[in-house]
Amino acid sequence: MARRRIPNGGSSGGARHRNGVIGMAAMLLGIGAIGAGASAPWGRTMPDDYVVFAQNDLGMHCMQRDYRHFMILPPYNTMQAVAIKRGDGPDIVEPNPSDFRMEFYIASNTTAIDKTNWWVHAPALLGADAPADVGLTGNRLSGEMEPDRARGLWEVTGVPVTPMTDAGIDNPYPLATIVFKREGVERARTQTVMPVSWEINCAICHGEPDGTNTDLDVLQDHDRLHGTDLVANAPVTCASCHADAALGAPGVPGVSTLSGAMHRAHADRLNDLPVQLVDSCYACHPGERAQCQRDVHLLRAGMTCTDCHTSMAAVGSPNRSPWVDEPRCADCHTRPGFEFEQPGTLFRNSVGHGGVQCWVCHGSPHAITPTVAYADNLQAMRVQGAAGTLSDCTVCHTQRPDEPFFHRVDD
Amino acid sequence: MTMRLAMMSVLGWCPVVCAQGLKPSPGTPQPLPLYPYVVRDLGSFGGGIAATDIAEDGTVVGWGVVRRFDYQMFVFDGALSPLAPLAPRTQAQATAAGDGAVLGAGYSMGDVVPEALIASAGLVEPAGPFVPTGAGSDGRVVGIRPMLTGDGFVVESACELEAGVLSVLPTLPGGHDTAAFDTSDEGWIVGSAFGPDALVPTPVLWIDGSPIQLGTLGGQGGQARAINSRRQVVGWARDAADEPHAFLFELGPGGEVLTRTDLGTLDAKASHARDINCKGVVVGTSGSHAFVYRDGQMIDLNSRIDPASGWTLVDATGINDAGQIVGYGHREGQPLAAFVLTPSIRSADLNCDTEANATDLRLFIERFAAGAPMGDWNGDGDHDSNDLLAFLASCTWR
Repeated sequence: MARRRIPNGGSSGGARHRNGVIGMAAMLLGIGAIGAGASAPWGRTMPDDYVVFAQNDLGMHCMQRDYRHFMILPPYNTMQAVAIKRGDGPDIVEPNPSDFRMEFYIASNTTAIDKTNWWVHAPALLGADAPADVGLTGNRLSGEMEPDRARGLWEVTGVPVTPMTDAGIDNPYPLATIVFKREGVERARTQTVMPVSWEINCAICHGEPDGTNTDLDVLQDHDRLHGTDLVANAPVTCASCHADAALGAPGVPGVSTLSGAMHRAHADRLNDLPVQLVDSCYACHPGERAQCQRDVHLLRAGMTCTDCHTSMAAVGSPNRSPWVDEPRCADCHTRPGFEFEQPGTLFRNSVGHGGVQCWVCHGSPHAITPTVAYADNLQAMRVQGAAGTLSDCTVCHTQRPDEPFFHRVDD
Repeated sequence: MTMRLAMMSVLGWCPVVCAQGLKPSPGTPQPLPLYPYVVRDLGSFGGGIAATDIAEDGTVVGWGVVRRFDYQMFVFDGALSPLAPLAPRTQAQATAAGDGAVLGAGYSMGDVVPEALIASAGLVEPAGPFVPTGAGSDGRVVGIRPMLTGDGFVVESACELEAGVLSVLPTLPGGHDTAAFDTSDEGWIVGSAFGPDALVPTPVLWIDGSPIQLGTLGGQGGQARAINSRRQVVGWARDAADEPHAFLFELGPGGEVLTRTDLGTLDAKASHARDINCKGVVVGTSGSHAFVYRDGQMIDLNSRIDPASGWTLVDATGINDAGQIVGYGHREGQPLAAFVLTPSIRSADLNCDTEANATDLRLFIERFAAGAPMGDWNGDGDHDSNDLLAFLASCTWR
């Protein structure tokens, strides 16, 4: 069993953390105001010989409920998991499928085809049929996660989870349970949210005031402004012309990317929204109710989308590569001797501290812990007794390390 | 009200009428309607809206989007009335119609544990940390309680609220998460449960608190969603091809499955049964079209309404014993709209004893006097003598 070793580094957790960036920011911004749910009511649950962590890759996935006219994004959610063998010098478990399995299920969400018409329109949208309750990459709402030995994690992509529970309640934060097994026997488990929302509010501007014909109005506007014939060809997949890295769609040469086109086309129009929103981005992204951007930056600093992503015009710039040119922690967080993302790598893909994914301690993008959503905080609360960045070394280290810890990629 | 009092006096002579005039008379020719169901739009609060259940007296419950973004429960008893969540919760969705009450769940974004809400006469009250999903005529409520375990995990647990006491139903031996969706008058509860190590749930029946696996249609996974007084259970289960299909199981006195029927699909891919009434009529959705299953046939409800209505019925979520069906769909391109379907020919056998008799007439008049939606038997928006005449005319139909 090959493992990657986490350095046996760090000093006493509390003191270190108070001097760390997160701790410093927290002091400046009024830590302790996390509110209800900051501490685990059950106390800390000490992991056994293994501890497993999981996260959603983006912090939120958007989908539509209704695909009769077009598809921006299908039901598609991605989750990753990492297992760590606890010890004085803990090891990241290499995802060797002959020894280990990582399974998942979503207890509140066990079927999806009855909640959206995506499966009805998938043949027209994709040119291929989609089996019931199976997502774009062949995965279901439960099953086994794929080992990714190169990255040292397990992943499941394209899970077709919807924001509607089996009981019919809207829930953008369904909890997935992840079970880590060695030789068929459970050794550890965790839970994380599989955030998903169909709160895409085109009706704020498109269609009649009562919401009538919103999607059709979108296509009509596109036809009128761009000389297309989308209404006659509905349902259409936006990414069939507009390149979309989220779907791996190359688009048509000469046609702007979907992200670029959408942000540029709407940048000026959002100045005159007919409704008052907490954040104008929530006119399209989820949302006023779902609050995609819900993390520590909102909780403690009131930061919204544009504080990191800047203006819509900038996001829509033809010079920007969507899903690649994204905000970086180091754009704001600076501290001598500290490092943040790996060079040339986004936070969500970066590793440090002996190869541990950054999200293991910090959570997903848009859901950097602690967040305003109780469900996001459960994982940290369980293993260290409190919401927020994992700062208790003994979650993974059986002995509290003596050496000081620096927030560096190789520390 | 005067008319209602006058109608109440009918009760004095109804036994005579019923004995002589209310028996079904199959020989009487009746013109068959062109469309078996009349569809009614319940209106909206300016956004999407869905009906989730209908009570025996015709009252419809559901949820609608208000102020563009927030969910509120609603009750429709001829008029659409919103029911706000209880602070500090910001969202509320009705899930089932109880005995004279609206059952729903209140929550805020990111909540793990919701708050059950029971609304009656416009007053919303908290009922515990669970999502209510169904109710018995004796006032019992069943649902799903997300529970934080002692080691910090959230587990879904089937639960029952009886006389103010909320209890959790047991899992399958060695199993985990459970959900309850409906209960019968004899106290049986149907839902789903995960077996030991299972990643998918299986349809389950609880009798006296003990879970019994009902099995599937040959595949793995499913849920029992509703049960009627004839021990008929409906839901969905995977078949041998691993596709979710609506099912109808007939149970014996010990909960054993006597017959197991795959209801088929409208789209050759999937179907989900939502509800069943006392006559064994099943409703649900398949291929994003609402269906009704009766006499061994799954029928697309869109083929049973006037196409000029502009409706596409997507999901039939509930049916009452009078055959009225509720759900949601699209109308004239609207993203989400709530409907109630009323059979053009209605059976006066309200209590499901296979006869239209004095008991049914009494039941009708009680509902009429209470101003319940069912009292408007002819669907003209008024409660008047024409409704009584229409009801009496219905007595020739079972």
